[in-house]
Amino acid sequence: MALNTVIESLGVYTPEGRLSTKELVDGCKVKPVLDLEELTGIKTRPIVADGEYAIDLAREAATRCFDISKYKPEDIDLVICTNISRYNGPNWKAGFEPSTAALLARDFDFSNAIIFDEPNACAGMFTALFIADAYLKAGFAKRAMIISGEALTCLARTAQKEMSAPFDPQMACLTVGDAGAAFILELTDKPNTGFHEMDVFTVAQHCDLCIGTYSKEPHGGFVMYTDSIKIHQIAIGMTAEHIGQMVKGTKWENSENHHYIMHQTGTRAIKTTRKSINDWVGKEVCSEKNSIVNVTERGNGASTAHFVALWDHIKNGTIKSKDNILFAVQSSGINLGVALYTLDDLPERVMNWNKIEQRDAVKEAM
Amino acid sequence: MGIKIDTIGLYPNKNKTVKTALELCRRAAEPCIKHSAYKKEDIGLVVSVSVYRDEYFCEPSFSSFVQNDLKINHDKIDSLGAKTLSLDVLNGSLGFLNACQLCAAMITAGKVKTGLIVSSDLVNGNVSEKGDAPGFLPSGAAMLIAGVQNGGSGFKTFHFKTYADMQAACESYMFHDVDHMTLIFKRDPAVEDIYLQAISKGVMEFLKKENAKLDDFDMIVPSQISSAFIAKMARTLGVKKEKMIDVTREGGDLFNASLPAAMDYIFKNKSPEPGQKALIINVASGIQVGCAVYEF
Repeated sequence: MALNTVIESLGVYTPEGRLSTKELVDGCKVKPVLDLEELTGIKTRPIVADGEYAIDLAREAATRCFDISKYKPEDIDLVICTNISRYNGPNWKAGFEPSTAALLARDFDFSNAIIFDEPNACAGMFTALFIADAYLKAGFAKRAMIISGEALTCLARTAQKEMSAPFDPQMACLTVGDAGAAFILELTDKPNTGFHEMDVFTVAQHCDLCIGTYSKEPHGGFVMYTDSIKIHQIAIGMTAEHIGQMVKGTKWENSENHHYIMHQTGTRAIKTTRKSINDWVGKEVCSEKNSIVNVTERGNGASTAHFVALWDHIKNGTIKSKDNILFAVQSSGINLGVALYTLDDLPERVMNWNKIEQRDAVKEAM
Repeated sequence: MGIKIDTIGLYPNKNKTVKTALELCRRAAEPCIKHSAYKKEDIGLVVSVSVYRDEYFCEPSFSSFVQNDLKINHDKIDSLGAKTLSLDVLNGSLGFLNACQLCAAMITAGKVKTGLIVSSDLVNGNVSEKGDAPGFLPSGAAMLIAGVQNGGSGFKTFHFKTYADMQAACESYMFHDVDHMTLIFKRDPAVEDIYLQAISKGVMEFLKKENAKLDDFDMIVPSQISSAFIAKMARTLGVKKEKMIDVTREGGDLFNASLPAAMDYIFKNKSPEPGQKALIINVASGIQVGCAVYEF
């Protein structure tokens, strides 16, 4: 019998700092013509502290992941880092070599693991999950760890300086938030648990709709240019079909049966995707009730978004052990992915860790 | 199932007329696909391993540009039928070997039939004079990897090792220098000796794990850094220089193109007999050592 891949542990770190959309928009030289908060639903997002970078977010998330896991770093034999952001030091330092995975090998004993970076825009962690599933099933690895630290609000800071039109290609930079996420995968022999289906592919003819690079302006920094309307139109339409093909005629047609975690770009985009999915399937499979939304407080965390959403909703009690989740991924590229997943007792273990963390924090404060 | 190299395409760019990473990829990948037994729609995976690419961009994946440029299932309007996943594997000059294993995993797990790996590291932007020269030759390389039912030949075991304590020996990064963003390369003057130290440890560990000895291999396929480096590596490992595949060129490291260039040379010039084995030994920033066995 084929074994399923299961998330053995999950760790998320979001920096304590918060940056509101109002503050961001107020700081723009040329303000967007649209009410960004109304359009995206994003009220605030986590922001790194001075001197805190992408690698720090990744390290913190991995540390939490190991706290919850039964494994130690030396037990991991595949490490894939998927952060788009390589913003790792003062003066807009962005590392090319060594890879993020190799940098983390200074903090964790990954000396015997297969390690590499696999950034794939906002689909990075999901693509790495797809790859890791292959390594596990092919017998090339027993335990895989996927890590991402996204320090992205630097894009918003550059956009504040550079946006020159009320509907500017850098406007999407004002939606991002900072976060780190990490999870460990292994095979399970429990047939009702883990990933039942997963698929991801690239519609490359639209690869130029969102480009992230460095600023050519004297102030430096990083920029992202997005054709938001076109990328959303294509990604939402194709996601509806992709999900529809996977769930139609299956138990996943029952909207009470599972949660939907879609890419967290904005509340309106999630609502439109929901409607498109239901239109395609011909019934309400994705409802307001079963859609996970955390973009209002987290912003778009790029590759970390799905796993920060999972973490947040485990912690607030919405997602519980044994629950079913449909992950839907859209990113520049354009990458589209869907996965059907049944949780084991991970939510209980995350909650137990959370209680210990809170107790330790109280002790420290006393 | 065996995982074999189906075809290799190279574009050495000796006169440096090609100025973009995307075009280097195209010039290497087109003949690679053309001479293959597979059609474009059979390619389920496109992996770019180029660390240094046009505009130094970080989103989307460079491979999605390559997929689009080569028109490999690029214009899908739904999720049905043949499709392709594009992704980048970034890991210094070890990316190509990582990508070979990745393709092997994806094929073995039944997720794809074939995978196309491309590399075209090229610096066409600002480089800081405060650091070292990039040190590698901009060239294009492509390799199509496929599963074969015979199971006897192709990639065998892979082994990777990271020596994080040696990591300071080489790094590269972008930074803001007064009024512009620039790329800087920093290498310890003794970086080659540090590489050799890591190789020595990594290879010994690999041989012990596999219960093998260097005499078991007919050829050694090293990173194509320079002829002098390869000669030193032969001395460090205690193997005859003739056993080392040296396709280096004057003026720089072949970087991620090392493995496809060396394997292409073997297929075209060494007429390997069935059962002969090559030991691939790659070294990269990190410091990382990758070993793999390829059986012909």
